[in-house]
Amino acid sequence: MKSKRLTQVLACLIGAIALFSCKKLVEVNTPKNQLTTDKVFADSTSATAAVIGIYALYDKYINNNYNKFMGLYTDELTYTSSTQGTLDYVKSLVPATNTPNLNYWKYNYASIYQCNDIIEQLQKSTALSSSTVLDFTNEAKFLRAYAYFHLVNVYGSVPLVISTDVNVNATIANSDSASVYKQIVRDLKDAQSNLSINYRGAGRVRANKYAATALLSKVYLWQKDWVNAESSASAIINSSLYTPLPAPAQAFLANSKETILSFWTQNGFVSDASSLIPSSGAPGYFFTTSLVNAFELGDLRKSNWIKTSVVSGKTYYSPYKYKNRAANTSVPEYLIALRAGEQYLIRAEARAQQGNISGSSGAIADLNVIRTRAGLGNYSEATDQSSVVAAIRHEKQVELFTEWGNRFLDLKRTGGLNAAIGSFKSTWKPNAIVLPIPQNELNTNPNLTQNQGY
Amino acid sequence: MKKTILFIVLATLCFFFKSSAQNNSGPPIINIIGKVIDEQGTPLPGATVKIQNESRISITGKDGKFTFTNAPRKGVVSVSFIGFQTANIPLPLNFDNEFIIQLKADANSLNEVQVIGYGTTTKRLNTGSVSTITATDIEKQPVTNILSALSGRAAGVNVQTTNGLPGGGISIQIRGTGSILAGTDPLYVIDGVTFDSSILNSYSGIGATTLTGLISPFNSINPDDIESISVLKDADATAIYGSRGSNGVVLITTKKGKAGNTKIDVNLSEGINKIASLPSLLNLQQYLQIRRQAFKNDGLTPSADPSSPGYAPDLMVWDTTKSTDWRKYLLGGTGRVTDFQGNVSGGDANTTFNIGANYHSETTILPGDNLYQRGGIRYALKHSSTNEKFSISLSGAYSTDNNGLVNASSFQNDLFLPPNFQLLNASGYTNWSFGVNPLADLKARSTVKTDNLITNLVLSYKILQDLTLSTSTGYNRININQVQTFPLASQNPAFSPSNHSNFTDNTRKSFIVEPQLNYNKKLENSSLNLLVGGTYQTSLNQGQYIQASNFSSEGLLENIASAATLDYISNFYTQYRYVSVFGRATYNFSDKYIVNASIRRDGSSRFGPGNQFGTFGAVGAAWLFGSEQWVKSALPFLSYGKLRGSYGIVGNDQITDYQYLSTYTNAGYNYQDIAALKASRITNANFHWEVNKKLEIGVELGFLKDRILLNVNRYQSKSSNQLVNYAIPTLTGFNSYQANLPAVVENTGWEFELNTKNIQQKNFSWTTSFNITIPKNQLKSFPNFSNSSYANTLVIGEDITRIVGYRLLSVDPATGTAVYAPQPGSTSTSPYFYNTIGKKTPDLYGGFGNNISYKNWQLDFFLQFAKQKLPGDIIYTPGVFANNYQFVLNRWQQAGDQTNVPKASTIIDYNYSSSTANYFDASYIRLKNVALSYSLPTDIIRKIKVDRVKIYVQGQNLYTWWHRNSPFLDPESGAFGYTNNLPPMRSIIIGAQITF
Repeated sequence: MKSKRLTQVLACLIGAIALFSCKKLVEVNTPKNQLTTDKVFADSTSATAAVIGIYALYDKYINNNYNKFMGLYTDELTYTSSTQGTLDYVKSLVPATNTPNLNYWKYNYASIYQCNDIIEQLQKSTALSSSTVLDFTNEAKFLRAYAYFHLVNVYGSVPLVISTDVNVNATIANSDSASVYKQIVRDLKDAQSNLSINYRGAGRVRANKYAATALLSKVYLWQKDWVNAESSASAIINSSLYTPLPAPAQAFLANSKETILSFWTQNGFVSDASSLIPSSGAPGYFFTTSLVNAFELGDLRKSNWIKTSVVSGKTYYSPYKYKNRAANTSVPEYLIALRAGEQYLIRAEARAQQGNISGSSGAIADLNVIRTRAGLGNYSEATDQSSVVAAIRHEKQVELFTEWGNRFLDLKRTGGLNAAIGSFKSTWKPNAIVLPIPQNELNTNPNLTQNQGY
Repeated sequence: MKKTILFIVLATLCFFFKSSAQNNSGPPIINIIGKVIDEQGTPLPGATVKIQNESRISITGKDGKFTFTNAPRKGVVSVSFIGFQTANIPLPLNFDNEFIIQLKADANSLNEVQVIGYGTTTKRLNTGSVSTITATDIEKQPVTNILSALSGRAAGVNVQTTNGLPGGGISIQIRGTGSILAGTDPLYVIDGVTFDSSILNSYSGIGATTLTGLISPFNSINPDDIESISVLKDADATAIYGSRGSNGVVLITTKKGKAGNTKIDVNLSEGINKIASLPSLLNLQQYLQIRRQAFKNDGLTPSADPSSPGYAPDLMVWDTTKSTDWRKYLLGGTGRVTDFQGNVSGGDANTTFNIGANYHSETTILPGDNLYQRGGIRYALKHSSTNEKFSISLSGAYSTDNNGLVNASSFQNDLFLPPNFQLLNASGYTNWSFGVNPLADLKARSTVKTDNLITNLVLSYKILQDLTLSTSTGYNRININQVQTFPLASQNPAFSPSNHSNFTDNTRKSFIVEPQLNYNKKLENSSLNLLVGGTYQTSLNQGQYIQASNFSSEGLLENIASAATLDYISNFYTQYRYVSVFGRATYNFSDKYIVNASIRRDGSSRFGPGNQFGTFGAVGAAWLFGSEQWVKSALPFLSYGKLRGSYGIVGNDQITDYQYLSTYTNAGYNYQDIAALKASRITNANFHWEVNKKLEIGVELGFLKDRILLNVNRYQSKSSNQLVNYAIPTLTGFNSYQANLPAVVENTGWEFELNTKNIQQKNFSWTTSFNITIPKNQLKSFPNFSNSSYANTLVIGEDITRIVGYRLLSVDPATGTAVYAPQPGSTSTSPYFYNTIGKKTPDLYGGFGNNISYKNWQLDFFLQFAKQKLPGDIIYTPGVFANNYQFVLNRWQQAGDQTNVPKASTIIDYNYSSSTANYFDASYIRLKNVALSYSLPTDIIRKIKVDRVKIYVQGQNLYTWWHRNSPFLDPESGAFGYTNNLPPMRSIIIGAQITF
């Protein structure tokens, strides 16, 4: 009798446990703060949120780890505080272990991952309209090209990651820069032909056809493809969407006339400006006399885009293209990625390089558009090709300072980096024309090679 | 281990029976009145008196007396009490004379109850490898975090205090690092309820970098509530926890009530905290000399002009005669500690209870307003039916703490300020010329509030004489609320434009139910124990992290509604479910041959469909050869001998939830007023259970009637298919992803534990305990290694905690620059980074403790030691605009100097900090604990009408022997590095414990 009851109890218990063990008991809800990838790309609202997630990286992370550091790395900015990671840039002696350098690299590749994922996922998506798929895919291609353009300039032979396959990417080797440029041009041409001239969303904060064209003109210039650089710049200037150029005081307001693409800011201020614009006391970053002296007398850019402050008898000059250093939603500013002013200078150089100097469609005419906006008289110096090219490059220095590392990129492109910065600071070494690939990457990828001299 | 027993070594159990025959016409019955005392004549309250074959029990009272009414004239009276051998006295007794039975007390620690997974055994009969510390060891240590009490006490358990501030983290590793970058925390089980040991504020982005650091959930556990901590180490002991046992299991048992008169226990203590040692930094003269040399060596002229490349405010602007010792300013304070514990316990044969309340407050060594407070209540109730068939027990603890600390975010920079830095500049404003300023930095604050409720209900029913059905149900809810405030005045105005605060909320809820069926059959010469059970656990972890700025008033920085801007909002949500069945069989033949086998099948929601279930198990066996007659006659000095071994397979599911799922997450910020999404992870749907094979052989020996007990273990654990956060370059978009590492990693080691009773006399006793662990870790194999992410950082055949770096060949005597070795076999002359320069695994570690008692005095001291080398704190080579360790005084100064420190320069040689030169001996012997106590003599306490009064002084981390030239803050917590962790504090407290 007793053993029978025991058997019953045991049978019940084992039955209960067996029942408990079924798979349902270890099933969990999908996390409430996450959306499965197939659902993200099954709906245009969530797919939009994924696409704009890439744009958002620029003001949040990428530019903060890049712009002011490249200003320090060249001859634009100097720094008075004691953070060693920043002082490395002042000396142009950046070790592979430097944190801003890793962050810059990391966030660019995070953006590239999301571009690659979006491109791959959209190919699989059946729920989205074909126009949405086409637009989003090409925005992702534009953003991928934008990231690679800067990476290849800063680091040289970067690994070209164009899929999300971790088995391939984790041990990928460096690509030569020609292959990277090939990919950039391919992506930009796709974006240029597939994106419309209309901007998605309000304002000019998502890439359109002309954003792709503007970056393409830049890439052509970098590749010394003067003909295509000129025609691309012309397409933008001739569209009259971005011209005439607004006065210097209006140029950096949100959705200004000359904005081709800007990165939207959440609270109306560019986050990088918080540290660049001083409040009271001595600024942490300020312009070198070398840059301040590069302006001609009466240049409106000097008075509009540079803030002068006097602390303890010393005069400091600070970046002031963006004027909001804290939340300002009534007069917002967005981080401008591409603008028409630069396109005039690209076209000017492309024309000058082709020997097209004077006349209404000559290099000097474009140069004068920029000079006129700056309140300066027309170019009146020597008109031989090399003088004009030099004048255009000088104009770029005073027009595009502290924007996207232009000074570094331009000097490097024209082969003048070692001479210019080498004479500016004693600690400059020739290998500094590329920054080091972050140590973390080398540690975890045996096929990656460090840049020369690091 | 149970040191209370030491007081009653050789104690005797005496009975004074008085009884009288009743004038009754019924069956022959008597009343028995007795008294239980020890050899000193002290009454023993709480002893259990039972008449065999009757279900009734009597418990001795405060005076050791008990009464049994209507007892039968025939039978056996059995008396039991923890620490004493059970006495069986046959009836009838001779009532006419006073009847005294003398019994030996059971002074042998081998017979102490040993808590193991889902049950208990004794040290003598255990087939597994378990180390235990009990309340007597914990009580002597003035610690805030219960885990620090384990430091050095158990072989194979490496405890490291990583942050000495209240609330700070502690890392525990049992038998080495099995995993590369995956969770290496053991499984914690408090009274049968699994306790999530992961960091509470890990979701907040800046938690790790500020002074407050990462918050350990163990701070909300009151150390005085703990009865014992058992650390299960080998496969035999841990396989019953299956997939969660591979890093070892820590079983924490709380104090329960004991039958007997109601006892009120009050314990009050008060003490101070100081930093154990200050780092040896350069003084003003040394600093200035090195700086001037640096400028000279670089060919620069120091300048007061901020735009000059030679800008040196320390040399040209600041007063070069005024010096501040920033170590003393920041770390030189004294913290106060107050602790109160109150407890009421008691009960009768059927019902026992234990209810306590506690309060603890602590200020820190840091400047400013810092206060940590913890309060809590605890309860334990148990009731058994009179027929002992049914029992119910409820226990639990609730605690709440409030940790208000300054929250400097540049504490390390503050500490390394140039000695002539002035807090205020000439105009009386905050001096920002160094970029940081402690005056401002210390205005940032953190307030952490934690609530922790952990409770457990056990129902048990004896279906048959040998068969018990029980169910354990547990619930744990832990909630943390952290606010970090950064008023404008705490920030450098050159960089930060607005006041801001960070808000973290995290709630974890976990529910566990474990039905068990236990069959315990005693046969003539053997016993069989069978256990079958199941577990169902569900946990929910959710919370949010918000960064807000532009508060309307700085008085409202803790009020999120006053923020004009929300800069970043993220929330997190994870659900975990776990289900398993387990079984165990133990067969014991005449207490000589014991075999134990356990098996567990687990399912976990952390794995993707198809990979959720795994089976684990182990076999252990013990042979008590010391009990063999032929051994007894051949080796008469050997009083105890056991050979045991075990082999089994355990797993690890300490991975993040949902890693198999491809998702996008809310990025925390908007773009065009749309909440942005970001890819959550690199998805791997195929990762599966890891397999950890553990093998152990142990010998336990007792000599001279067990006065010397030696325990030697040799362990080997091989893990393959380890679940890791597989490290990948960030160019993949992420820095790791969840995967099974194909490698085989082996941990082997020796553990020795020696316990001796050196002197055992009536008024004087001295016992010693010693343990040492010699661990070894090795990467055995790794398929396709040379093309893997680990090709540079690991080497097959070496330790997986390998530290890589440059090998310093010399400092060129001609130029003073450091020369590093190139890649071996390469023609390149550039420095090669991937040399093995060390490992994090210590060479050996252990502890050495002594208990000395003389009459009413008791003295304990405990030493902890480790032999190890660690990366040092030389982040910058000499000459930089920041203070440095005195180590750099030995720099190269002129041609011909032979040294390993390069010349002073304003340009940092970054290779140096990750080279062999910055790798130092961090071996230490630390006087971890000294406790002296005095119990008032019996005649005095009788006069003041209390049961017991104990007065004590305790000290923690009192002194450390180490290489003080090594540039560390502390050899135990290691390099200050880029973290802001403070070393363990030196604390001294005095207190009194009174029992009514």
